[in-house]
Amino acid sequence: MSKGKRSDYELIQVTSGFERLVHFLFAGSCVLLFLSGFGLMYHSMSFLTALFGGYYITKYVHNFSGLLFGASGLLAVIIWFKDGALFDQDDILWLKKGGGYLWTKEGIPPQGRFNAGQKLYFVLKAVTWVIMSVTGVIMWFPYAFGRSLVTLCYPLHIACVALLAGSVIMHIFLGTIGNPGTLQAMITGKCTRAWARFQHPKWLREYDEKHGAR
Amino acid sequence: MSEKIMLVDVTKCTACRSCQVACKNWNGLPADRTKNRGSFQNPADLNPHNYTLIRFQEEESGDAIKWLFRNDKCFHCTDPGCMKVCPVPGCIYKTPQGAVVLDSTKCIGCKYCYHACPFAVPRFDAATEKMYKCTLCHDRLAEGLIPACAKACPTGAITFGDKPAMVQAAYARAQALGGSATVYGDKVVGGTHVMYVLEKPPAAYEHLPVNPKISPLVFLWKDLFKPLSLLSLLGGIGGSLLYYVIKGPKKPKFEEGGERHE
Amino acid sequence: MNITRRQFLKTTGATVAAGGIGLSFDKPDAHAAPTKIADTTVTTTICPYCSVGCSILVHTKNGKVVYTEGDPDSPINQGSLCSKGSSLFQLSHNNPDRLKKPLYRAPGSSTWEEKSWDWMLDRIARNIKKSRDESFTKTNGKGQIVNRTEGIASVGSAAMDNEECFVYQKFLRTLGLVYIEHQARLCHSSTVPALAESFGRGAMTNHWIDLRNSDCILVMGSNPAENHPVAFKWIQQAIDKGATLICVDPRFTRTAAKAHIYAPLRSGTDIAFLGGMIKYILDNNLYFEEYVREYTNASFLVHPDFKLPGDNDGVFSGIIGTKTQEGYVGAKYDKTTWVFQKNDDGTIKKDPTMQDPHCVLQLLKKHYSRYTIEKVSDITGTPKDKLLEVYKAYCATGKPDKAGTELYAMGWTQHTVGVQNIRAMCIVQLLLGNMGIAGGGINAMRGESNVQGSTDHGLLFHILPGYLKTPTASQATLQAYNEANTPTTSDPRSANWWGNFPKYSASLLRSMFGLNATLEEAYEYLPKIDDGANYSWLTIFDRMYKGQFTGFFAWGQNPACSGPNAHKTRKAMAKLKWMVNVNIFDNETGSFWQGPGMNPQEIQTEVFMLPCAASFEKEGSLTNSGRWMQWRYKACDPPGEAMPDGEIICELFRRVRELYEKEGGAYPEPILKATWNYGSDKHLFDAHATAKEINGYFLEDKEIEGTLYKKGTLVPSFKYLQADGSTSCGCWVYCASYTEKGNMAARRGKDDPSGIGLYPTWAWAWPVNRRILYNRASVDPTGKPYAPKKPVIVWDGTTWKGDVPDGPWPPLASEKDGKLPFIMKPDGVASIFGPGLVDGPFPEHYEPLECPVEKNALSPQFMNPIVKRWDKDGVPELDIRATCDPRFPIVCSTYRVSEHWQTGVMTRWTPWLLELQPEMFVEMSRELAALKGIKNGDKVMVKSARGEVAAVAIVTRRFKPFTIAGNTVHQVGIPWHYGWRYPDPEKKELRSANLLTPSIGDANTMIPESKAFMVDIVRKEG
Repeated sequence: MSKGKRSDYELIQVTSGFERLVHFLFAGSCVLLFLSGFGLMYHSMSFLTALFGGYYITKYVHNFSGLLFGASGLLAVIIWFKDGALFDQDDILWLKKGGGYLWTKEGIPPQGRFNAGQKLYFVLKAVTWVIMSVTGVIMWFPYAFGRSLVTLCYPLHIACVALLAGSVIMHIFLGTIGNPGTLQAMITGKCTRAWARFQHPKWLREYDEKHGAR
Repeated sequence: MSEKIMLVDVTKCTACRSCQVACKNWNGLPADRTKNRGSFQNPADLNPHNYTLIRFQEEESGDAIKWLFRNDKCFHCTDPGCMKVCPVPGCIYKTPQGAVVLDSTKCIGCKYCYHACPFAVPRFDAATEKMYKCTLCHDRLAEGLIPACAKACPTGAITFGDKPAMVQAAYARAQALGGSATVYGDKVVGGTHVMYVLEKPPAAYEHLPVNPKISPLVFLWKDLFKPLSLLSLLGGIGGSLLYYVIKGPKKPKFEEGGERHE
Repeated sequence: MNITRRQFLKTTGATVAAGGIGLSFDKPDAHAAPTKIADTTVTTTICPYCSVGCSILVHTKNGKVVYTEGDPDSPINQGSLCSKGSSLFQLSHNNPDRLKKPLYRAPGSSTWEEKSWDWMLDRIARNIKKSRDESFTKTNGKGQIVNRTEGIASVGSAAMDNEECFVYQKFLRTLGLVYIEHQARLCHSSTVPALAESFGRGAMTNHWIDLRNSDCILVMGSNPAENHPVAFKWIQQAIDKGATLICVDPRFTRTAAKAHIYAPLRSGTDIAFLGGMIKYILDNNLYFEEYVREYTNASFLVHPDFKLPGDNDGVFSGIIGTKTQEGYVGAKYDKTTWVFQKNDDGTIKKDPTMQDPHCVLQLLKKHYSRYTIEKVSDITGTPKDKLLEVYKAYCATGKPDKAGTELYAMGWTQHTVGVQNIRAMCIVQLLLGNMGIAGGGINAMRGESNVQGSTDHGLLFHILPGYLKTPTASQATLQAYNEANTPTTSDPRSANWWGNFPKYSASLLRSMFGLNATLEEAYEYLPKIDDGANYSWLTIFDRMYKGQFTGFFAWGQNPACSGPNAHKTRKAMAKLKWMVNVNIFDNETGSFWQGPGMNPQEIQTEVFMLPCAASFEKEGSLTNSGRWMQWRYKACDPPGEAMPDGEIICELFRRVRELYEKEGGAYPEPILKATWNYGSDKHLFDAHATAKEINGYFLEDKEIEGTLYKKGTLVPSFKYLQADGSTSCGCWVYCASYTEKGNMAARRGKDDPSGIGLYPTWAWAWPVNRRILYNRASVDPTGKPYAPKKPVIVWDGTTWKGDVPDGPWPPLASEKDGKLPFIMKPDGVASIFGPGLVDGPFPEHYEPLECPVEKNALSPQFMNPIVKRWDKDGVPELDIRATCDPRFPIVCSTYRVSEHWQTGVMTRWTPWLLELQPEMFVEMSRELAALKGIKNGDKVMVKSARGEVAAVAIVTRRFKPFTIAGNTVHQVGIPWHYGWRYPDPEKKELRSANLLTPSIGDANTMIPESKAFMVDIVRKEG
């Protein structure tokens, strides 16, 4: 190894412990919400409610997971707002080229800590988090609100499910087998330089500058 | 078993409240402490201990006083909104005679049914966390008996029988009454199994929707977004797997023999 | 009877199918679990509430009531019930408040103590003996033999079975009581003389199902939709067939809500209203001429010196009394001029053309000529066009084939002119020819399940069982008694059925003392009342307040709430030495000593609260308002140690008798000689044995019309009763109810060959199963029905077909043996002119004791001149009157709701019913509410000169202010179902309507005037 050169396989810190905690609290609540939610939505999915010990408990699981969802989601939106909510030109171009996932493989613009797809996902999650939390609370205590308002919440809540179900699956796919090297970023908090240079070169540059890298 | 109709002819009702008590008697429902709020109507509304209620409505036109009485309860719709939205299998179901039965033992108290019901009928009991409503005495019907309220009604304001005969009787009665008497129920929400002969148009009666329907929001919920959710879930899974199989994971070029940095 | 479940299902299904609703019995609903009535034992009972007499099925499992519902087999209710009937389940042991143990309150104590039955009964028997011995008098002030005790009084009960009523009156009369009263005094005592004077018998003339045959139903003085709800089934059927329903009421009620015509009127002005109707009939010649001429006394000529109120300062001729500013007060009539002119042969002088100015019809016309539409409207406050609308519609039933019926209750009875209110309608019905026909009649709607039976069995001071008058002190012998009570007639066409009086009195005496005494001795044993004296309700509580009773029975009644001027009643009870209160719940009467304003330490009354069985916890019969005697069965044992009333009465009698046997005492003969064979060793009380006693037996072999009746045979009908003491009969009108053919009251035949709803084999009606009284007036003199489409009886040349004819004789026009239709009247005809009443042969409008006007618009006589004025003779600080008084400017009436019953002594304790109508309320017009600053739902105080009660204001369009002689008069109304004892007894809140009502009663019967008095309303702060 030459001195001053960074190894591609050097592991660098990409996510903080707090970030990972928030992510898995949020992700975990989402999983519980999906399992209990689908169990409550489809009669044919009673195996899901059986998992929790019946319909009565499933409703409680859904309601209280929703609380966790609301709290951890709030943290998520706060800590990742900078990374996830601000789009630049590179992001737009990245999106136009399908991020290299589709037919286009050349000229994919460099991405920051979150690529444009991840930013889109952040926005989607942030927006649906608001809608799900608000409609969820209203649906949990419907008599505190007007009948028309409550009835409006039902399709809104499920519309978000329609948006989220596929995108969460995609998020899990892309975060695991779809992009090797990604999962450990969320488990151990570290990633390889190679992965960082490939996936998030603009972030790597910032990281090196910060850490006095050569 | 043939389809049945309960016909409530409000012109024959004297508001004796036998129906309210007979219902409580059959269903073993307790009484609540109430207050006189300036009306004979008590309790004020349908509730978990009162599946049926006589509504009292006073009005005047010129010097003619009218005191309208209406027996209110679940309408037992052919297309029940409550059944459409209930999350628990077997909690709300229809019987061949047309009763829409809410099995309160299975209820989890989500209150969807109250919001999906075009008449806002089911009632929540905070003590048991369950919803309750008229069952059309389906257990009596199974034994060849008629609902308790119909049996108890002295004047024939509440009658019960086979659908064709009852619908015919309803129209014959409305015609005999003349004026603005109408039949209510057979033309809404796919036809209700509790129908009215009203002496005035439906709009004249408090708490009686003129054109009851299940909210389009419920259809949006159950007939659009619900299947879309499943599609989305399966699509996500399927799409991801398909992509992985076809395109494989996304890796940097050097791992496929590209540039490497040491 | 026990019905198997299979029979029950069959009949339910059959009844439902018969209603034209075909049910199929395919695969049951797989989700449904077996119902709670899947394997129950079913018995039938009759509802304990109003007097329609609905049949109820009681389902029990292991001796416990699990469900109650209507009996589909009964032709009266056909499986339906009102809210009260539907709630019967909650009166059973399922109600934790049911009294289960005898309770004793010691003098000065603040609590109840549980005691054993033996202790209680022994002590009560001892108290009875002591009070009786101390107060027994052999002779009165005039030296006449009276053999009575005036130290004990009894009220109760219309809730007991007929058999229990009979043994209770026997118990009381063998003790020598004369102060015997019960619910009937307060509700329909005015009905009996009004109807008896008009037609001959004092009961509802038709029956419930018959209402469906009517062409025009006038509801005035009642509210059947709320107080006889199942009767509305039949009213609705009449309406469905085209009948008109007219409702005349100060308030727009639930009945008015179904009526074609509603007319308001001020409480207490019914005679004015009906007087206008009589004038309308006569002016427009709408009366049924043949009927009036042949079947009434319209053609009879009255004494030439007879004067009408229009010519005599508002009173009839013969008044004796002092005249004051408001006219005569507390007066009486000398009836010398109230008699008919006689021919030389002693027969009554008549004018068949009915034109003679002295004939009844012309006097009637002259009398009511003063009741012009303008005058009537001024008095009643009814708009003129409404008056005419009602008159026109109702008087159209004067046609021979049209039937009009009237339904009344307390709205007419409870007035100082109560009897005359009813008489006015009797006159209308006679003019229109509506008596005796299907869908006609005067339907006096009684209000308690067995108040008809309790009246029939003599639980009032002035009558013995069978309406035999109580003997008076001047009637020293049985012969004198019989002579005074046996009318004679000069008309051979008059059956004069009361001419058989001596047969009934002899048989009654035998039922009291059997062969233990001669008839004369038995007569002497009976307690006598003083001639012309009054021993009724108002007198009882006035005497009680003055400390003149030591003992009192409140047996199945709640006088602390049911009688007028309740403060006086409650204070009076504090003066007693002992009180026995028998009931199924604790109540305002038994607990009077711990009521609001009472200091228990100062009250020395010993109170014995005895828990009794509810209606379905014993077997026996009861008689509904339509005179149908129905048998009901025991479904289960009473809870705890509660006992049927019959058993308690028998126990008490046994113990009192034992005391007299051992110790002697005042005049023990009646007690020792009374027969008492009502049970066996195991049970002191056997309803069947008693029912047979009431029907009567032959006491020796007797041959009648070629047939031998052996000793011990049940008498087949009252035709066979004897004056020589060879027959015994507890109540002659019930003779034929339990014969060798069996228990007629227990029959459940569902056939109706008549087609007019007679159902002759369902139960049994008195007299002799006749369903429509006076039915000989439904045919013309040749026996042809006036209304051929709804014939009641038809003469086929040799016999009558249809209902039991009201006298089996051939039609009137028959040469031999034709008889007039009103067989209980001496002259055989109905009385339009009714001289038998104390306050006038024709009704005349007078104002109530308390009213909003200064003067009577019709005459200078303000009030009924004959009523006893307790505000002058009673207790000055309590019997207060405030008429035309600016402190109490609002007219008030009392009434009932469907969901409660009487004083609420059963329904307030029934949670399902209390939920429906939880609190005392007062209904008032929006105009009055605005004047007083009261909003709907506000808490208010209703005050009268005698007391005040807390109520919730119901501000409604259904009361409107009246215009009375140009002035605005407001009226309000209050229910009388509430009291402090339940719910929330610790609040000691005053809620009973009778705290406001005055001590005043009708001139003939002293029924209290609860329907018109003056109040003020004030909004309650805080």
